[in-house]
Amino acid sequence: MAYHLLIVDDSPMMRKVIRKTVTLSGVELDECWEAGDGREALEILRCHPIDLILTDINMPRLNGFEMLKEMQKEERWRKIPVVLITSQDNQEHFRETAAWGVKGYLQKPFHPETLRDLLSRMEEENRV
Amino acid sequence: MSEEMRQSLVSVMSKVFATMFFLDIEPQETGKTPGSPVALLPHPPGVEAQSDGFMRSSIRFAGPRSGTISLTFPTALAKVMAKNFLGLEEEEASESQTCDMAGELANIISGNLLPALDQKGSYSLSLPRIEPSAHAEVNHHGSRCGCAIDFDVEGHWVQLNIFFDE
Repeated sequence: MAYHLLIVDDSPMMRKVIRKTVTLSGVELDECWEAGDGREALEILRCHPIDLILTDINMPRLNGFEMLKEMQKEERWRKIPVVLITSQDNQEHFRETAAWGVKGYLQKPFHPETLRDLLSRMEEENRV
Repeated sequence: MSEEMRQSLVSVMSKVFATMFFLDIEPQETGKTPGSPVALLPHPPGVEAQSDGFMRSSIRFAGPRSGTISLTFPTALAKVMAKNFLGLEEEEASESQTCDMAGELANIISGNLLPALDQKGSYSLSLPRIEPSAHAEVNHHGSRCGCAIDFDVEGHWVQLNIFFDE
């Protein structure tokens, strides 16, 4: 499956590194969009068909959780799978966000194989 | 600082530096416990003066306890770290990329460190703050407890500080 991916992180360098990690993981991309915070991400969602979001949590203006809440208000955004990319290993956060389309989380720093395994698992669950 | 806490700090620093920057990191025996005034020095004893100065990246945490985690390192090393993190081959990392890396490093170290120190607690982190500095040492007179560990990163001095609010 080739993804229309949206990467959301306030660090331009981290976005570049995540994009590179996605490429190294062997995950196929059709298109890749980048946003510096939740507000920018919602603008991109309004204009482009995105089918996977990799997002940071701790961001200025509109953080990852606030963005997820906004996404719940739009029918077409509710089913987009989201992976949280966070520095914190917080299972409680993950449980809370499962209802908002969050399918998994990756703790920074992470290896390309970890991302590939997570996306494979998500695709498998989707098929089932 | 307990030996267990020290080991957690060293383990997190080693993992993050190896994974992000492909750099080996060795803890040094010169760590000190803040509480007594810490003198601001142009550079720590035994560490050569850095022509580019130092960078300090710090982040506030709040939860069962609150405080600050900061990392201080020579700007020359920060440029190498940014270059390795971005996988740049010939070009040098820009100033904004170097600052970006410093902030991300504080974020990642803090996010990995707090659960290692307190497995049950839930913490929130502020956005990182980056300061260029001619001085190498951190001075938090307002904090009574915390710890500092010096590291050798391939010949460069790096200091990790954790300060808990009173």
